[in-house]
Amino acid sequence: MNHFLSQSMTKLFLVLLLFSASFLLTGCWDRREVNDTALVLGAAIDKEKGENIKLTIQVLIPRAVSGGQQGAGGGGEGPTVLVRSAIGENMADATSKLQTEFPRKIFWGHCKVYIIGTKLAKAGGLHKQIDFWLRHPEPRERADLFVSVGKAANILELQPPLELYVGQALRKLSEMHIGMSVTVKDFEQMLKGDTGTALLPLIKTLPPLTGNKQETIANIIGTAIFKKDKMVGQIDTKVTRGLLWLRNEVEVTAVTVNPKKGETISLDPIREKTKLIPTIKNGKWKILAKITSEGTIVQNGSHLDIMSTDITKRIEKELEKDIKQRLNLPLIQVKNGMNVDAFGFADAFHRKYPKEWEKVKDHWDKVLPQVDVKIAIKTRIRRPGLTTTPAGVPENEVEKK
Amino acid sequence: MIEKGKISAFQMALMIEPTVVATAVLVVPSVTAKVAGRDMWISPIFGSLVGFFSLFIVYQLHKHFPEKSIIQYSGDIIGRIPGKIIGLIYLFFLLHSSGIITREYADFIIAAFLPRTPMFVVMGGMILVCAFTVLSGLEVLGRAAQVFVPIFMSTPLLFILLIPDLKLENIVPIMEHGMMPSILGAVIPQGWLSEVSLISMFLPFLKDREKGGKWGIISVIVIILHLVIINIVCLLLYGESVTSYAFPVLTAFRYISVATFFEHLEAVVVIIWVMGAFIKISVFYYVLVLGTAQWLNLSDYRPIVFPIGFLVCLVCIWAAANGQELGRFLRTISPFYIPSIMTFIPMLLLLIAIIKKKMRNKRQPVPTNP
Amino acid sequence: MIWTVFAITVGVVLLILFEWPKMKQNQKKEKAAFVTLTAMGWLLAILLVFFPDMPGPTQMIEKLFKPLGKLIE
Repeated sequence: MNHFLSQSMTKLFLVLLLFSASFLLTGCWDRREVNDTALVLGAAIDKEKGENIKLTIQVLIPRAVSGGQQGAGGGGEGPTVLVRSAIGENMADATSKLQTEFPRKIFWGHCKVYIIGTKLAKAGGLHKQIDFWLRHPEPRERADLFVSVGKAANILELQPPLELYVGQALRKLSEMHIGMSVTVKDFEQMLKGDTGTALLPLIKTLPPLTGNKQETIANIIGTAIFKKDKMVGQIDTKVTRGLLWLRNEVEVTAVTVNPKKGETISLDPIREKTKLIPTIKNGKWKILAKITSEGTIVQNGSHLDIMSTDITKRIEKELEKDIKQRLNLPLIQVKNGMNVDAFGFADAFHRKYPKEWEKVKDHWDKVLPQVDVKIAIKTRIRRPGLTTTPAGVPENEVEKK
Repeated sequence: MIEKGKISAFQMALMIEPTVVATAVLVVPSVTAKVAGRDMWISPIFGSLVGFFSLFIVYQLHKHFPEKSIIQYSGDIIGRIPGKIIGLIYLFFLLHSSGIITREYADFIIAAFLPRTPMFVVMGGMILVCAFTVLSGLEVLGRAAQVFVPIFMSTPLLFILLIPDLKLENIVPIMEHGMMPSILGAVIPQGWLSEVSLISMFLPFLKDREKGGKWGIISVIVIILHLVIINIVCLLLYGESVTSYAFPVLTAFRYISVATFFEHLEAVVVIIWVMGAFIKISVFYYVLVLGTAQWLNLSDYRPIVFPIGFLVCLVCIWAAANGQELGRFLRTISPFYIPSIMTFIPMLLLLIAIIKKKMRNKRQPVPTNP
Repeated sequence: MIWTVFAITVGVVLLILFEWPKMKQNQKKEKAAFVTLTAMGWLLAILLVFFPDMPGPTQMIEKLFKPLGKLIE
């Protein structure tokens, strides 16, 4: 009896010991409660006087979000985010200054968008700020980077009508691959690459439609071009499309041709593939950009019968011409105009001709203008879409040839 | 014998895999890339030569002295006192590397997850758990490996989620500067691979000794595959900028994002990695305790488990002043330090043993021949 | 600092109290090994409290292997 008692006592003691362990296992030093953290959702940095930067962060107001979900329809209860800024010598310094304005500990783990003001980008030395995002354990390497026209801080203050906050809107824009989509890791990789050329999406506040001036988003209006972490130029959306096409990153686009004046046919390319084929012959460096694209016709605003194979071929030719024009734009503006290798030509040569590359890698800037670029395009129209003849055109007016 | 438990050759192979890989995944990709550049994924294959070589030596020694560990047969081969000296060097190495490994573990956990937690808590917690494992003996350690290591080895499967971000063209040009960079790069993984020779302490306790060699080879092959996969994924993800990261594999897991909501996987991965680190530290700790007991001719190793654990903690603190110093040691010194103890000393022992045997065979026929 | 020394000493005493009764009467050698190792640990711990920058095994090994280490640095 006594023996049994002592055994059950031991068991009880063990159970209590196990329970007491749960108090120790919470990890007292690095414990972090959700209601003690200020979740940063987006950050913007701008140039300030001297070498200083101005860091603006957007912090989630948890109360506003949970209230908004319960009260259906009560949309305008107030902002879901809070924007604050501080001036500091660098990211870490500015963050510590910002911390004094928050009763909760700033947490970078959910910040997925960083916006850089043009002034700071043009001043160069971005690597100094990038370092914080890669070194500090909280910020994510996957966060997207943007360059804003004008002050980056202004963009964080916008209230997007469709999304909860600007960061989310920007991230979704970036995921659609309308412009460049660059994460912190990608940017670092580009800066470290063979040419040190980096590209970042350029954003600008979209003019609001009505009423509230803040109720709008920023959209991607082009690409900022960096050379050795200094912004050297920018290109618009149209040129960016061509650039993306050459970099084999294009996803959403529509190509429109005019078979006759005032008539249009649009193709929605489903699959595009670009291959850069470098050749060196007799000391002449050449690049052949081989592009294949296939797609469906989404609009036929002409009198042509696109069911006919002859006409299909003709449109394919027209499309190829149009794409070629698009691709020439970035070549003229970026390669000839800025003498920047934003297309990955250097990498292509490096991969195929490592020995020759070794010789020119220190003066690639001088070689690049002499590189001859040829474009070969193959377009296929796979399907005419759901209609056959042009909509609303009587049968006898349709041009069969 | 001091250890009464028996393990199977399969369990031994499972114990050895994380013993090499657990800490190798932290630093090897970025350090190898510094030397080998784009050819970093070839380096572990060259490094495997050292792994197979150490395995061969240890297995041959085991055939000569099937019941004994390296601490015991070193005395048989070169005499009692020199044997004890070799044993002491071996034990010093084990104590020092147990400390270093625990330090790597603690440094990694602190740098990436628990920046405010004092080191002695992170390290002491781990050593305490390992001490209880070692106290329970080899069989328990083998079973623990059987449970944890398959999970640990499955982590590279998670890299499938990273495929959209991998760029295949990062791998070319292969061998841009010839074979040399990848061979020089092999200096780093070969140091880790020579740790395979720790099986010399386990071979006497195998249930199925004839399978020991086979499973040893399988485990080296699995280690190579694990390292090559990790190096390739790092290369395809970062290109040559992999050298920028202190823990590229951790960052690679952090980079996983599927459909914008399936992300922040690193916590899961690190929990799994801690299992591997636990097996690694336990293996070193166990070998150290058993070796010390054998060196001192004790009848039981249990009483010295906790005092040695205490010493390992102290060496862990003492080993390096800061992360940079530890990093430099791992980069430049350990590729020579580990093989010199784990491969070179057994090799010398084997050579002497073979020569002695030949001499004896030569001498013996003389008196019998009239 | 004195508190660290005190804490270490308490830990070592607890360790001895925990392990000592487990050892059998005739295990003389084990007891000797246990006491020596624990004493070494205690001494080293105290030394590390007062001289945390004491050159350790790593520095020794580093000196020994430096010529080789320079090859790949």
